[in-house]
Amino acid sequence: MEVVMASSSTDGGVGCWDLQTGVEQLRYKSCLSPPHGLVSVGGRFFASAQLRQSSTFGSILYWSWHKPQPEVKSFPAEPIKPLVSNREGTYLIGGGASGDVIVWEVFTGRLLKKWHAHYGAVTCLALSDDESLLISGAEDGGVRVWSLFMMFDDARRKEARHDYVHSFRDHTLRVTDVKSGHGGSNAIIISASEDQTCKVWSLATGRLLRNIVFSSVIDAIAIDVGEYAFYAGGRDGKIYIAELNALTRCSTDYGKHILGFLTDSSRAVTSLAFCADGISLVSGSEDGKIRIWDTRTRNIVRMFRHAKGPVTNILVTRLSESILKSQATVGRRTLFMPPSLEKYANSSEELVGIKAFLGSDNSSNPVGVSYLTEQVLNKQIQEIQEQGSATAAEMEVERLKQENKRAMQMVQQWKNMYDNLHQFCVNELVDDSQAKLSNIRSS
Amino acid sequence: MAAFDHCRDLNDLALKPRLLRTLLKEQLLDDTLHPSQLSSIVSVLKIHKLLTEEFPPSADLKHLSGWKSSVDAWVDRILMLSRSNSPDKCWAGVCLLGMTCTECSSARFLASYSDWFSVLLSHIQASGASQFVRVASFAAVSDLLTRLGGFSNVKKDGTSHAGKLVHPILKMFNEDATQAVLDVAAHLLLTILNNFPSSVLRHHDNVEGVILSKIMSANCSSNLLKKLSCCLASLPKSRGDEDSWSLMMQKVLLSLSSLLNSTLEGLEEETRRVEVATLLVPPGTNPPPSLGGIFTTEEALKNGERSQKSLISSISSLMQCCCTMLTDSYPVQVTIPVRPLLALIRRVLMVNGSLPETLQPFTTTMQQEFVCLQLPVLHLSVLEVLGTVVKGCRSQLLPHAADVVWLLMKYFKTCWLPELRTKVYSIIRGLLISMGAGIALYISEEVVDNGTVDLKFGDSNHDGTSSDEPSCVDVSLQHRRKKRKHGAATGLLVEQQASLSLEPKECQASIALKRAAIETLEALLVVGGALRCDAWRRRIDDLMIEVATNACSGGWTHDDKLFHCKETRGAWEGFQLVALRALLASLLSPAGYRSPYLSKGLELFHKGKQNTGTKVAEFCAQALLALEVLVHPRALSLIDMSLPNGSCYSSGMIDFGGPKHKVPHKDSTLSTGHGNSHDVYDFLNDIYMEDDPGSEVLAGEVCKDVQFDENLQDVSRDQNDEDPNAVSGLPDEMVSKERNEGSEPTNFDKRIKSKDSVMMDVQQHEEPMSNTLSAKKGIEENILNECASDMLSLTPVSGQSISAAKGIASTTGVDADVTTHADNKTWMNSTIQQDDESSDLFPDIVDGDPDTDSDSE
Repeated sequence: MEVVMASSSTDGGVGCWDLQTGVEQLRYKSCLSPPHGLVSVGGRFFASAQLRQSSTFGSILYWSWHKPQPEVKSFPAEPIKPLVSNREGTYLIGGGASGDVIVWEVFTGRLLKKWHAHYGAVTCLALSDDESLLISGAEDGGVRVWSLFMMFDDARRKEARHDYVHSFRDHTLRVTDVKSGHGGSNAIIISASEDQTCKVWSLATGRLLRNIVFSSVIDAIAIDVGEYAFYAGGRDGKIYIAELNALTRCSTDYGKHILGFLTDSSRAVTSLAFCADGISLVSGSEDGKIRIWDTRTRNIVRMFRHAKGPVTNILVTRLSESILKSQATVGRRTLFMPPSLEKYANSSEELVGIKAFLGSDNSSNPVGVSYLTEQVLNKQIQEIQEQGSATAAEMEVERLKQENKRAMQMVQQWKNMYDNLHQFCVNELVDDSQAKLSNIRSS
Repeated sequence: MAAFDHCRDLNDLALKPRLLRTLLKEQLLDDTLHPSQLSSIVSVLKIHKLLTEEFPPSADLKHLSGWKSSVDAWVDRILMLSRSNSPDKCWAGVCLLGMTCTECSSARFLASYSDWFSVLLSHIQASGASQFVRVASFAAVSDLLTRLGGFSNVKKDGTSHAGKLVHPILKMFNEDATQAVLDVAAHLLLTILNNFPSSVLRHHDNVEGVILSKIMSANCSSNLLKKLSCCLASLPKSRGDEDSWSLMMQKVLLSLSSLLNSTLEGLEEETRRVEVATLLVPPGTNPPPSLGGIFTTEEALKNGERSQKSLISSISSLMQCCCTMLTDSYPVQVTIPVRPLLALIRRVLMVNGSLPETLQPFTTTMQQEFVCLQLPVLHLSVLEVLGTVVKGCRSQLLPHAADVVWLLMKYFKTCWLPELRTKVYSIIRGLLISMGAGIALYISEEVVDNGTVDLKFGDSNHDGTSSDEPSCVDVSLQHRRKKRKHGAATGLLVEQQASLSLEPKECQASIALKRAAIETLEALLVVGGALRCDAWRRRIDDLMIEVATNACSGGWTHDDKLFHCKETRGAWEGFQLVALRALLASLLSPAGYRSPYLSKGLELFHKGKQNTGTKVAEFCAQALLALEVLVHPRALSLIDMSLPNGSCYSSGMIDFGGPKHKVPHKDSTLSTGHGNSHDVYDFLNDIYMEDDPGSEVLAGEVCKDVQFDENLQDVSRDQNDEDPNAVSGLPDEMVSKERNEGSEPTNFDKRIKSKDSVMMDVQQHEEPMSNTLSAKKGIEENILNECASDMLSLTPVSGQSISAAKGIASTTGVDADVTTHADNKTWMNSTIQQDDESSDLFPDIVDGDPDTDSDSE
């Protein structure tokens, strides 16, 4: 079952709808998430960064899919806005208001790493295609690419001139969203900023490939899976379609590289996400509605109403029916909610080990059940035929003994019979002769 | 009558009961049952599936009961056999009962497994039973339990049954039965631990002790040791909680560490030993009871005069146990002690047979020889553990990845034994695939360096190799002999160098090592081929084509040439496959330049495809398909995938108010995608047909502009590079190069014919002037752009006005020119193809580009 989840920064909790049927599922309570602050952690549960406008500290909440109340609350040292997690759900990475990026291990809640990434607050985070690189955007307009491996290698970091792989400084204002396309090390990165541009970067070379100027600030980006185009949600309520691979003339009426737009309302589009089919685009808007578009026909195919306040986050994810009703499991193993996230790196307790599930996930079906008997049988038959081994000989001896015994019995039997016959014959003869004798005598 | 009651055909259900009865009558009722008959019975049973009693739902009831009764008769007969006093009949019966357990229907199995179990158990418990019968019974009961483990509703019953077996098994181990019996007994124990772990709980410590004493005694076959170490690894499952797993792991590591103490004595420094010890038992905590209870490893060490060899085999078994623990699935989450594991691994890998200076007075030559003799085996098993750590931790290895990489890279420098290097390569490969581009970025140089060394073919001309080889060996031998003499004269100092680190030249890298090296380089290309690859990419590409050519020139498998190498045909074919696969990766992996070996590669693949029926041919066909995409790059358009009803939501589609949502199609692409009569989207057609008269006119205009005002053209060129709008989706050096060299693509000749002279003229003029002009204009432009971007940042003006402000001098004509080029990707490619030779100079040209110079200012 594919579901669309939406959260708001003002109220309304987290709404959850079945994409196929449109039926609203559970509504999760007390969630006030800033943009990019809603993630599914490995499909086991979902997490959201919380930021109340009045307070200066934030929190991170976990919900399991089957309960409306948040189950685990964590209070990081500084307010966290964007959150991102890898597909396996082993790490949760957050961007802080001070410009720090923090990596937690989900299973233990340990704060694994924290580094100063930007001068301004981190506004958005994304993982590259292979999840080895982290892309961060900040309020100071910087976009940086980090190798997670490098960040954990202190020795290498000391030697290197800078920690990051790439640093893009072409945006003049706050970066609002970054997304990475497919293609491993040759992927593209698209960043949107309040300077009304979207920029396409090459991950491999770090060069700027394309700059697209829009007539409005873009807050959200979604990339078509074939990279035909990307969709940019603007504050003027339009979802612009900007070309990537599309074979067109470069300028249209809407501006250079812009192919057209989708529009339904004049309120700002705040978040975009593609569904698994790669065709349906989900958009969240400031008017509190979630729209689903068919990108081929450019029509709305469905609309959900979330709340009065603006929708800040959209999450499209695939869930099993059962997970919405009971505790999540991996194979046969029940998953319990992990502990809350640590506030500070615990330096006294070194990283001794990691918590993990061993073996493959699909342990429920015992693969490779191999039976032994036939193998043993063949080996034994071979052994017998070769007659080399003592054990085979032993059995042969045993068999011969049995045969011998049987033969002996047989002999005995024959003997008995012979004796009987002999007796009989003797008796007969004796009787006969006696009779004859008596006959003679009588005669 | 029955004689003519024919079956329909082979698939007729009525046939099966009859076959079974025939089998029963003709083969099993005989008084003398020959072993070879038995195997034919088994094969008939399996092929015809005579015991499955599987019916299609429509089956005739008559057949059903017929089959049932014949299987009944079969079971009765084999039970009778297995109760027989005569060992050969009993043996046959037990074997067939084992087969029946695995082959019969679920219903029958569930109904009668108890009876069967008791028959088998009686054979296992009987003291005087023939060994053949005993082995067969163990195997049969193991199969019975394996099958039973598949049913979740009989867990409890199964556990109680399995519990009855543990004691006899332990007795068997204590009695010192023969290897064959122990082997199946160990297998049975493993089956029990995997299927009904809780039945062992009562005997937990006992089992641990028995297994460990066997492992320590080290007089078992390697196969048995492997099974025993698996049993030991599965033992924590009997409790099934996190603590017992951790405890077992800690115990195993501790005994490993103490075994290593005595093995590596005198050849390692004390500090490493202490480091591992403190990690294993953190200060302030009590050490756990030693593995195996009373039979402590220390005692076992002291007791016997254990040879170094048996020590090593115990260590290997315990390491095998570690590996199994790390990879086998476990019911709950556990904490993998990564750091202690890595410390232990490092401790072993850092011993290279040399003597640390402090220990020289205390170590004898004999000790060193001992260690060096066994060191490769030790290293191999420790690398195995490292490999499983990487595998077991998956993405969670990240915090420790740096340590692993450091260790591997350090080890790479000192290790030259092919088997060990092969293993190291495979670990690196695993790391690369799981950690992706982020790690490739930092280890690529070293991997490529090592790969280059290992892939050096002795001589590219293979006919010469055979004659060269002996001399090569001679040289190395002499070299070594010299060393010996020298070593004898000066003592230990020299010999310690000769220990593990043979010089690369001396070891003729085996084909397995070459394969591993190629595969690792391929993995590097796959995950990080494009990312910051300038330094090593060319080297790897050169290497890959060289290796592939060499692999293939050794004779394709169907040319009945003599193989130049000593390897078997199969191994060589495998090598070819790997080499070709890597070549494909090198061609496909994006590098920012056109692969210079495309045509050579295509030739190799075409040639390889001719080896009909081999894996190489299959792969080559696939490779040619993959390269097609490279030659015709396609942009994926939003084509109408033929979904039923056009939309996947059509079932629940809501109408949101008709036409006002429908945006008219203003552009051409979308209309080719749908709405048009194009049913199938034709990429090539779209790309090539684009070269319509319109763009030709455009190009013409450009030239006119240029002709009229050279200054203006220059300015606009600068503008184009300054203005990010003009940066195309292609790697930009292509654009700049083309313009820079001034060689207009010949494919454009249609367009150029008319303006030919003008074009050439302009570009020739341009060369001397551009530097000064562009510098001057560049400054102007910078100012202009700054103004523009300031305006941009201060007032959110509309896009139109920005571009107006920015592009004062940007004559739309030139702009369009550049972008048309960008669009015509195919033309572009072909242009570059033509000056293939000069592509070596590529980066230089880019560096020398006046435009980029002004850019950086």
